[in-house]
Formats: sequence, C-alpha cells, structure tokens
Amino acid sequence: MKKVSSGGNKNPKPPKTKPLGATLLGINENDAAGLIGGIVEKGFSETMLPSAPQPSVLPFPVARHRSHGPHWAPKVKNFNVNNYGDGDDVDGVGEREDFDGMDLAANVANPVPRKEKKGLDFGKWQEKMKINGNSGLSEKKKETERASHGGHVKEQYMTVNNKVSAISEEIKEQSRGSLHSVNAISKGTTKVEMEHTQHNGSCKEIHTVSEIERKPISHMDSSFAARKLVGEENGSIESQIDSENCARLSQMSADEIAEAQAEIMAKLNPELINALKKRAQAKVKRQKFSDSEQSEKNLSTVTADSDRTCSHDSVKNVAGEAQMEEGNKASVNTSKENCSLWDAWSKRVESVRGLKFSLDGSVINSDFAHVSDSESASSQSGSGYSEDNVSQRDFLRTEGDPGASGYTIKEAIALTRSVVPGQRTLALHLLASVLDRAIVSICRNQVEPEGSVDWEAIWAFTLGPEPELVFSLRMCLDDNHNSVVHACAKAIQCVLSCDMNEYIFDISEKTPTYLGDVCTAPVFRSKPDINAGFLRGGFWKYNTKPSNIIVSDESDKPEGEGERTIKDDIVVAGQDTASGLVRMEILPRICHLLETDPAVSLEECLISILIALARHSPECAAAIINCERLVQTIANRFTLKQQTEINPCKIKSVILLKVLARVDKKSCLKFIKNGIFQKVTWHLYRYPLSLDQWLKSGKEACKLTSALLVEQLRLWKVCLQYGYCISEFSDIFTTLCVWLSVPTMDKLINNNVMNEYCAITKESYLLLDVLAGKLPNFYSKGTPQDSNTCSWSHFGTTIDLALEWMNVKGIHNLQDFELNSLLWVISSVFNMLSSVLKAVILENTSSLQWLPDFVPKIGLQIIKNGYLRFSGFSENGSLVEYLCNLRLKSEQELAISSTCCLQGLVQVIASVDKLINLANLEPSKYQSLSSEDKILANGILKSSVVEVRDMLTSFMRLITNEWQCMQPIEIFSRGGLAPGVGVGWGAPGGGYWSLKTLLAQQDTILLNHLLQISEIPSAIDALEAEEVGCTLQMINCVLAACIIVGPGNNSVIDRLLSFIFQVPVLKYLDMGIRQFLNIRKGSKDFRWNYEKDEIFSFSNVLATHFKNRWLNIKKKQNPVSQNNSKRGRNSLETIHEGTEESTSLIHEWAHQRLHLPAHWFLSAISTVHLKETDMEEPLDFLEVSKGGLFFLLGIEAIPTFLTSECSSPVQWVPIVWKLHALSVVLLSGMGVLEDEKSRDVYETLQNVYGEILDEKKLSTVKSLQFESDIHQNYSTFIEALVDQFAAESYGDEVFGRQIAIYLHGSVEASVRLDAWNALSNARVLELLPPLTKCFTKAEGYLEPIEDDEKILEAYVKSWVSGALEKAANRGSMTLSLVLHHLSSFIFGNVAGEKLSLRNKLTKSLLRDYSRKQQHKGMMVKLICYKKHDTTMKQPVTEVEKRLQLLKEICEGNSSLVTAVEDLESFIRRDLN
Amino acid sequence: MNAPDRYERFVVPEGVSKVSYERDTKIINAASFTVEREDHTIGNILRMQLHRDDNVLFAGYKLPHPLKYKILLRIHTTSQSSPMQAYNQAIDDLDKELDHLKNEFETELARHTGKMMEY
Repeated sequence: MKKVSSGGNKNPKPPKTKPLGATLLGINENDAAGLIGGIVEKGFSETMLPSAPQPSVLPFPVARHRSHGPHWAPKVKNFNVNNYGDGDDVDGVGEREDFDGMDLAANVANPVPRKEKKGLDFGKWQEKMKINGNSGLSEKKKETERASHGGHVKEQYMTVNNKVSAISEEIKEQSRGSLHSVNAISKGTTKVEMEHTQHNGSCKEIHTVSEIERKPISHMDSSFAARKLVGEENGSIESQIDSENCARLSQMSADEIAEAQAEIMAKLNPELINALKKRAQAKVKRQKFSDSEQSEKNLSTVTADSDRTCSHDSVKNVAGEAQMEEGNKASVNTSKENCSLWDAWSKRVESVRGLKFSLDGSVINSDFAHVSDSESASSQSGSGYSEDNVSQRDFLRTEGDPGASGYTIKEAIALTRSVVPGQRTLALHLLASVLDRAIVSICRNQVEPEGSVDWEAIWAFTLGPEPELVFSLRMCLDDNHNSVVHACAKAIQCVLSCDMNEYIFDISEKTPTYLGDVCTAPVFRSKPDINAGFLRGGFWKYNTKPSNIIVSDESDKPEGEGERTIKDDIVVAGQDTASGLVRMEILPRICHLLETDPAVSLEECLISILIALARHSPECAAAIINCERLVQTIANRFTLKQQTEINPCKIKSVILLKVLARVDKKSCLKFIKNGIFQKVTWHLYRYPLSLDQWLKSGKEACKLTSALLVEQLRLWKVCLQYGYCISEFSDIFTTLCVWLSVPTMDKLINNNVMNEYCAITKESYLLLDVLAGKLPNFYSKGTPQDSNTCSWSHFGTTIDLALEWMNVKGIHNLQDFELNSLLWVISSVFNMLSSVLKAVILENTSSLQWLPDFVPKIGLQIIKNGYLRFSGFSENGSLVEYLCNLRLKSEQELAISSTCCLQGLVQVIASVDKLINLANLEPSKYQSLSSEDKILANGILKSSVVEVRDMLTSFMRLITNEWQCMQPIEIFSRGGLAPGVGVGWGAPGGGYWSLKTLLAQQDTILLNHLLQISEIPSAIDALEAEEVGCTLQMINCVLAACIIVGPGNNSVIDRLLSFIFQVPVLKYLDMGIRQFLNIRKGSKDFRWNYEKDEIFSFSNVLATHFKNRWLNIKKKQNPVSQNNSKRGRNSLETIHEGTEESTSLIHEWAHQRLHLPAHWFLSAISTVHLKETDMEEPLDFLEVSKGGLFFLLGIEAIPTFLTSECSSPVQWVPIVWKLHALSVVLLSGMGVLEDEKSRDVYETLQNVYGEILDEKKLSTVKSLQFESDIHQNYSTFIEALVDQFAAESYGDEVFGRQIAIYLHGSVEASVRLDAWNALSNARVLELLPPLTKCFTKAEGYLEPIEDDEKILEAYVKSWVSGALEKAANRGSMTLSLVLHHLSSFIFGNVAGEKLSLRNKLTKSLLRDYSRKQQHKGMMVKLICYKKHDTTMKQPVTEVEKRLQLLKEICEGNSSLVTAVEDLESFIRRDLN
Repeated sequence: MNAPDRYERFVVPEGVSKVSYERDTKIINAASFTVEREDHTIGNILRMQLHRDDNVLFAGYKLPHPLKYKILLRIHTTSQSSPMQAYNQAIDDLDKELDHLKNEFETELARHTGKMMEY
C-alpha cells in the first residue's frame, strides 16, 4: 500500500529495529507493495547488497503488535540483477556507480553545499540529518525558492509509467558502451532532473520523468533519496524502469551525461525547471522538519495535535501554493466551458485523491501524492485491507511523527478501522477538521472567490461514493471507546454540516416572512423530455428514494428480493449522506448513546446530528419520530438535570422538537398530548422576571436564556400555526409582556446584552404575528366560535407596546450588531402590525363605518418618525433612505434585516392607506387638520411617491445583478456537486443555502410588495420613451426575480407572473418592440398592430400557461384515489385532499419545479403540442405559441432600453436554447407561420439571433452545441423536425431558414451530419433557401472548411444519389455548401490520412458523372468553383491544375479518365 | 382491448370519399390531399413519384397519427401545372410503372416456368 511506503518516505531514518547486519534484499516492487512498513524505503537500497543470500521470506521490522499480520511474505525475485549484469565490481561499487555520473551534471543542476562523507555510520546519522537541515544548505534553498517563486506553472503529476520509459530511451541512446567508474568524485550533491514535457494546447502538463538527487549524507541515504524522488512509491514498473535508468546512467561517462543533460535542459522551458527545482527543495525542507520533530512521538494524544501542526505552518505555506495554482486554474476552467464542465469538475475532484491533510485539516502537499493505478485499484473499495494485511493498516505511521506528512482522505478513512483506539480517534479528528474547514471555506467562497485550496472538490470527494466515509463513520459510532465515539459524532456533525445549516436556518427564521423550513435533502431534476421541448427544469426528485431510507424488516419483504446488503447501504450513502446514515440505523444507536448518559458535549453533538437528520426530509423526520424511545429520551433528559440550569443541549433539544413538529402536524399534536411540549417550554410559564433580575444573572446566563427562550417561542409558534394551544396562550402572555416593551437601551448596551434581549422581543412579536393571523375579523360581532381563533383582547396593549418600538430616533448612533438586532425587532413589529391591520380590512367592502383608532395611530407614528420623506417635510434624510443604504453597504445579515424592515414598512403603509381610503373621510373635514394628519388622509404612499420610486429603482438594480447566484445550483443533473445536505449540497458558495441567496430572496419579496403598490400607467396616454424604458426595466427585473425565488415561494412567483402578464405591461412590451425595430438597422416595422383583444388574450393565455407549467406540484400517485375518482366522487377522496393542505409547515424541493431555470420564459413556445394527444392543458396551443413568440421578442427588445449596469437574464440564456425553442414551436404545426403577425415576429427573432450568432462567430466559438447542451438524443428531434418540414411546409422560407441553421458551421459535427442525412433522406435538400436568405451570414456556413470525414461522405452520397439535382436548379444553400466544402477539400491541401478519403470521394464523383451525364453542370461547377464572393471565374491555370489533379486521382482507370477528359473538353470549350 | 378493429385500416367508411382535396388559401398552386385508409406504403411512393415531376415544387406527406388511418399529402407546383394535375399524373405514371413491373415479372415467370416444363 502506498500509505505505508509514502509514510516511510517522509521520515528517512534507519529503522531502529533492524540491525545493520541484517540481510538486505533486492526486492521487487511488486512484492514491496505487499509488504509492510515500507522497509524498502527506510533507507536501504536494494542495490546495497545485491549478492546477499536471498531468503524466501522477509522479516518485518516493526512486528510489535498483537494483531498478527503476515510479517512474512514470500520473496519473488531480485530485479536488480540486471544492473550488475555487466560483471563489474558487484559489491558496493555498483551502488555508487548509480549516482556518480550525476556529479558531473552539478553545474547544470542547482548547486548544494558539499559535505564530507566517509562511510556508513548509522549511529550518527540522525545528528547529521539535523546538522544538514540547519546548515547553510537550507538558506541556499530558500534563495532559490524565492527566485523561482514567480513561475506560474500548472503541474500535473501523473503516474510516472509512460514518461519514465520515454526518457530512459533517450538516455539509452547516448549511453552505449562505456562503463565508467567515478568513485573519486562521489562527493557533493547533484541533482538531475529530467522531464519530458508535453505542450498540450493551452494546458501545460509537466510529466515528471525522473529526478535523481544525491544527498551528501551517506550512500545509503543518497540511494534512498534518489529512489524516493524517482517515485519509487508509485509501484513496481516505475521503480524497475528507474533502476534501469540508474544502471544506464552509471554506464555513461561524465561527458556523455553532461551532454545529455544539456540537451534535455535545452528542450525544457526554464520556468518548468525552476518550478521543479523549487519542488525538490520543498521536499528537502519538509524532510528537515520531520526530522527535527522526530522526538515527538505522542501519537495518541490527539489533543496536542494543534500544537504540533502549528510548527508545520511553513511547510503548509509552501505546500499551499502549488495547490492553489492547480485549484484556481481548474475552477476558472469550469466557469467558462459549458460542455466540458463535468470533465473539469471530475478532474478537480480526482485531484483530491492525492491531497494530504494535517490534523488541523489543512492541506500539506501534493508532491508525494502520486497515486499509481495499481494502488488505487487495490484500495478501490476503501477496504483494500484483507485479513492478511491488516497489520499494515494498523502500523500506518506509528513510526516517527505521524502527523507530519499528513494523510490522504482514504488513508484517514482506512485508519478509522485501526485496532488502536488512539489512531481511530486521530483519523476521525482529522476527517472532522478537514470537513469543517471545507464547509467553512465553501461558505466563505461567496465573499472572495479566490480560495486557496479547492475545498469544494475536497468536500465532494470526501462525501462521494468512493471513500465510503459514511460507512466508516457509522462503524466508528459503534466503537466501545468513548473518545472514538465522541470524535465520530463530531465528524458526523461535520458531514451533515450541522452548524452551517443551523446558522442559515436561524437567520432565515428571523425573517418575518419565513414560510417554513426547506428540506435539506439533496435533490436533482428529472430528465427533460421531448414534450417539454427538452426544456430543463422538470420536477425535483430526491437523490435517494424515500423508500430506500428506511428499510423494512426482512419479514415484510417479498421472497424474491435479494437480501439487504451493506453494499446497498453504501450506494445509498453515496447518493445522499444523511439518508445513508439513517439507513444504517444510526438512530437506534444514538438513542442508546443518549440513554447511557453521555457527556454534555457528546450529547450536544448527537442532538445536532438528529436535528440535521430531521431537517433532511419528511421521511427522516418520521424515522426519528418512529424510532423507539428516542424522542422520549430526549425529553426526559431535558427535565432530568437541574431544572433551572440551561445548557446548549437543552436548547438543541427544543430545536429538534420544533423541527419535528414542523414536519408533521401529527407529531406536534403528539408532543402536546404526551406533555413533552409543556415539559420543554416550562420556562415560559415561570413567574416573569424583571429586566434587572435578568441582567443580574450575568452575560453568559443571559445568552443561554435568550437562546432557549427564542427556541421555545418558536416551538410555540409552530403550535399556533397549526392552530393548537391558542386558548392557552394567555398563560404565557404575561411573561411575554416583559419582553414586549422597549427597555432602557443604555442598560442593555452597557451590559452588552442588546442582542439577547432583542432576540427574545423579536421572537415574541413574531409569535404575536402568527396569533394575529388567527384573529377573527375586527367587525364581526360576538365571541369567537371555535378555538382556532383568538380574541382581540391581547392586542390592545400589544399594539401600544409595538408603537413604542417604532420610535427610532437614536438609531443612527448604534453599532452595527446592535442596529441589526434592533432592526430585527422593528421588522417583526411591522409584520405583526400588518397582520393586525389585515384582520381589520373586510373583504369585498367599499367602505367602513368607523375606523379603529389604532389605525391612524400607526399611520401617524410612521409619519412622525420620519420613515419617509414627504413633500411637506424637508428633513435631512428619511429612514427608508437610511435602510436602503444599509442594504447596499452592510454585511449580509444587517442587509437582510434592513430589507425585512422595509418589507414590513411597505406592507403596513399599504394597509393603513387602504383602510383610511375605505373610511371615506370627507375632504372638507380635514382642511383644518395638522399637516401630518393631512398626509395621512391623502394617503401616505401618494405623499411620498418619489421616495417609493427611488426605493423601487434601487432594489431593481440590486435584483438585476443578483439573480445569477441561483444558477449554479443545477450545473449537473444529479445531486449537484456533492451529496451533502443543506450547505454541503452542491453548488459553489453554498448555492441555495447561503446568506447571499437568502438576501436575494428577501429583496425579491420586497420587490413584490413594491410592485403591488405601484401602478403601471395605462399605456395609451403615456407614449414617452422614458416611461416605456422604465416599465421595461421593471419587467426585466421581474424576470430576474422569478429566477431567484426558491421552493415554497409559489405565491411570490404567482404574483410576479400576474404582474408581467397584465394587459398594460404587455402593451408596453409591444411599444418596446416597435421602438426596438426602429432602432435596428435593416428591419422593417410591422405593418400591423396587435389589437386590444389580442393582447388581452395573450395576457390570459400566457399567465395561465406559465403558472400551470412552473407552479404546479407533482401529485403523489395514489392508486386508491384514482380508482375512486373513476367510480365517482366519494368522501374518501375529499378527505385525502383536505388533509394534504395543512399537515406540514415545511417545503420540499422534491415534487415541485422551483426555482425556475434561467430559460423558463421559453416554455411557452418550447412545449410540443401534438394535436392528437392533447394534454391536460385546456389552452389554445396556437394562442400560447403566438403569445410566447410575442413575449420573447418583447423581452429580447428590453436590453436596448437598459443601462449598461443592469444585466438581463434574457441575454444570459445561451443562444442555442433560443434557437432550439424556435424550432420546437414548429414541431407542433405550421400554425405559427401561417399567421401573418406571428410569422413576422418569428422572422424578426431569427434575424436577431442570427446577428448574435454572427458576432459570436467572429470570436470563433462553437456556440451551438445542440447535442451536448440540450439533449443527447438531439438527432431524433432533428429527424422529427425535418419530417415536419418535408411533410407540411410547402418549402416555407422561414421554416427553411430555421432548418438551415443546423447546417451552420458553429453547430457540432454530429448534429450537422444528422441534419444533413435527414434532409437528404427526405429529399428536401432543394427546399432550403439560398445562402443569402439565411438569417446568418454566409461565412458562418462556409468558413471553417469541412474536414469531418462523415459529413464529406454524406455530401458525396447525396450528390451521387441525385438528391442535389433539384437544388442546383433552385439555388438552394445545400448545393453551395456541397460545392464549397467538396472543392475546398478535394483541391485544397490534403495530406496524410485524408489523402485516401479525397481519392475515394473524387472517384465516386467521377464514376457518378460517367453514369449520369445530367450531373455535368454540377461537376463543372465543382471544378471551376471559387469562393462565392468573387464573381470572377477561376484563372485558367488553376482549372488546368485541378483537372490534372483529377487525372492523377484516376490512377489510370480508363472509364474515369475518359470522364475527366470529357469534362476537360467541355470546360475548355466553355472557357474559350 | 381498445384497439380499433383491423378492417378499419383499409375499409373506407361510408360517406367518406377516398381522396379529398383542399386548396391552400395562401399559396397559389398548392393543395393538400387527404387519402383515407392508406399509410406509408402509398404515401412514400407517391411522394417520390411527385418529386420526379419537374413542375412539382413541394411534395410531402405525413401520417398524422399511427391510429388514424389516413395520410395527408401536400403538393405545390409551378404555374405550368396544378396540384391536381400533378397528383393525377403521378398516379397514372405509377400505375404504368407498376403495370410494366407486373408484365415484366410475369413474362419472366412464364419464361422460367416454360424452361422448367421442358425438363
């Protein structure tokens, strides 16, 4: 195993257990790989005593362990025999010879101070190493390192096999014959580096061939170093080749070697050499480190790890750099190329395999991380250890300093199965810290995109299926050593990214609009199908089938199914870590651990794990509920200890119960019924303590109480949301009142508990907000009939207290974090008020008899406190402005809280305005009122139009630049980037699970509120360009906002869509199109107008279509209910439907489509409506398509009105999708083209996209990758489309242009071939329009000369079969294509393999001509062809040359020659 | 069990004409024919025959649905001809060609059987 050998490498010191005189063997590396402890590289070269007696077994030096591994392994053969086959002095000399030659190369290599060495002296070896390490040597090294620091080289170390062989051949040539003994100059250090470089496109790969380094320590050591650097650890072949090389080198004379070196050096890039030198020095340096720390061998004391690793900082720094470069480049690559995205990603992940990590989770160095194929194969399953070599695993670096060289992920996982508990703990700690670092870095990534190490890939690799991390962790949890269990629990906690998720959830729960948890389980989109036009964005599905999470008992299983195996568990865990853990029955184990009264920290870990699992998916939550005694145990432990003491475990227990209650209404009810709910919330019922008492308890206690109370209130909130416990609310109301009032801020600030206090206050108001949602209508008389509603009695005082909070005079003086907590309170206050106000508004009434007096009070409070700037008041700046500024400039949480504040404010203002408007005050009455009252009477919004407008614009600008953050979520079809949960699921920077996304979503919600209150001026009277531009910008912003919204926010999308598809908005789009056409050069204005009723119908049809398409939720297939519905409606079904609504407060990613894919707006035209198989949609398909085209052109026109700083999501969608959508709309029929208006729109769209394509073409990008971008079976689609064209089109020009695009040069070859074949088979080649009439420039079709063999053959085939005959008459672009490409190919510069193809094609053309004389015209055209842009004919000489060439190709075949002669005579006649 | 009866594939229902003709409203000299109870057998051969006609600018057919036993044929011709004319001519030519094929086959068969008889 590699672990063993590489570990040995790093600590080059003589094995103490081995006496000097012990037999040293030449061991074949094949055997060595199977041996233990890496004896070979412990410093004893196999070359030392080649003639020693060869026993059949090998003693293992470190056999001190009780596990009786095979310390004896059969010896196979001495492969070094060859080296000494020359019959020279075999003993000793041969060994020296290996490296003597190197000395002469010293002038080329980096010089290193020499050191006297007299002979083998193992006794002083250690000291010498130390001296060596501290001598001037290292200084020199540093210098050179600095010098070579700037070199940017991407180094990819691969298995050395092929490269070594390449170089050895080179050397062989030069080393014929002479055998040279260079004993005399054996002192000194040389380093020879030989590389074989390969320049491969832009990417430069250095294949390290071999490095031989001579160290001035001892023969033994030098041989070791050389062997090491040569990559001996890479397995047998390399080392064999290496030894061969060494032998060769030893045979070369000094001059020869110098010559060879000079030659190699000349071939190499100096930068590379520098980089390699630097690398070698880093190795030496590290060696030094490990040596100096030799004395520290306290392996099992993991707690001391951090100290030790601190001393490695310098090593890490060196190591980090190379790593950084690699990582960065890889990540840059991925963002650019769409098609090779997956390859780039897997390369990144694969590169993690060799990374080594220190105990604090940092990357050490990848230099030694070559992993040869054989090794990776042997450790493929992560359990490459059999019973026989188990000791190998356990002795993994017990020698020396185990942490110094670090472990790879797989090594660490292997080490978790060690028999030494200390090692297991160590491995688990290492894993935990790696994962922890990874997740932290992933989250930080969003702020600074340049991470030093590719942590995303590390995360993905670790969680991925290969290392079988979950499996190992699950086994370790069963350990009987407490330290191991504890470390394991920590590691699991990291795997489930508990802390990060909790942080995100906590903040999102602070937002008043929080709708409920979103499941964290990894999901993927279902595959796109043709009926949806291959449009992405299907329903989300769980990575793991829910049925796979909980495995039913064996007895339940049908006989036929195979038994459940561990393999299945591992597969599941590879898809989804959390469900893998649940499947492996982690829950009973956790329950057991909790029952055994664990330490507090372990308990906390365990409960965190449970929380993460409960958040995973409804299935996992149900598993927790159903796990015997688990919940009960947790509840009991809550009350078991001292009641008053609060510890983090208790807080987490409450969180767990809250999460579980949210998932299922039934569990919530269960908690209430069996008293758990009361048990865990008893703190709320306590006699209310005053503020002073609370403050006295100290900062820490305050923090804990605050956290606990907040969670308890949240648990209460869940109950209230379900409608439970409303009647008991008055019990806790008195306690709440303490927190509801405004305290003396100074006291809080002085005690530094502002945050804690405000958190409770905010949560109380949020609770009241939920309660307000249950209020009966204010005007309804009488007592509330059922227990589901609460009474208004609580709210009298509450509103007064809330109004106090709205006084925010001193807000500018607060510090950021204090401001933040205050803003959270204010936002929750606003939200509560808005809910209360909504309870006042009666539906369907035009007027109110009387107004409750708190309504104007709230309004006045807003006006007085300067929330908005009114025309009458000329204050410095309003609060809204201040909040907007905060949103723009602050860190994320503060930005979120200020956005929430604005949301609440806008809602309250809108409600107040509405109520006052409904109250119908008579204008005459308020002439005498104060100015504030006047504003109130006029409507607050009306009085502050400017302010609101400003707010809208600034948020629109934000959103148009924010939407991209959601896009990386579905880069890959399944599971995103890694199968983790929440933050660890997929996307870079945390993706959906990041504050950035949360912030964007809050912005969207605010935008939604703002759009509700702002009016679209009716289009008829306002024809000013400014107005149009402004509205279009709004539409653009809404398009972006739609992309941001995630699962659970269906209502937001619904409202946004309603906004876009209002009739006035569509009218603006229409105007936008017209202006767009005016601006564009060369496009004519439409000769028609959309009528009013047409726009009206579009508005209807599009809104319905988009809402149906994207917002519908996948209904669970319920066979029973289906049967019922067939038989007729009965009560069963209604119950089923009714319960579905309110059983849960969580949102699942699965079974729905949000968030929208970037190209969602194409769905209207990209849905195939086969006339015969009508789908559920009762819409008029044709109308939808027409509307879709109109809408598409409208939004394509928007960018012309935008300022440069706003990006349009429409432009961001790749052109290939848009062209594809245009094709799809034709698949369902010609209806669109038959209608004059939509035909014009269609044509304009084609022109617009054609221009974009022409622009792109200039930058030579293959932009139309239909097959790799859209669907892998694109050929089927093309065939269907061509069939449609051939059957129905009447050769329609617009249709033809659309088909012709598939023959465009920027389309990938396979699609072009499919399109051509389909056209040729259907005999419609002649129907395509001439090149000049296509919507892209002709160069696009002609420019890169076709060199694809298959396409050229297809051209000739069509020619021969006569499919092109008519095309000649009609001037179709197909003939132009064929003439151009064939003549360029045949008469161009053809060489190599293409020659035979050319001859073949030419012959078949001539043969065809000899048979079909009607092809004469075409043949002549082919021969005389010159590029279309020159009208002149080919010069005669050129034609002569071509004819000559044709004759040559005929190779004397008489019939062909006559054909050529015939042509020749014809052409001559023509020319003359 | 819901499959249509077999005879549906070739028996033209009463009151329905075998071929119906409909002129295109937008394009001159273009029309679509609906041929009842036929499939690719006729559709393809007819289309290819029409392609041979120099006056035919476009000829295409499609089977709208596998369980609807009819084909839709669309023809667009130059002004020298008309869809109807092209259609008829294509049918006639096909007729002749098939007759010819049949005759050839029969004579050849007769020759062969004659030879066989001799022995």
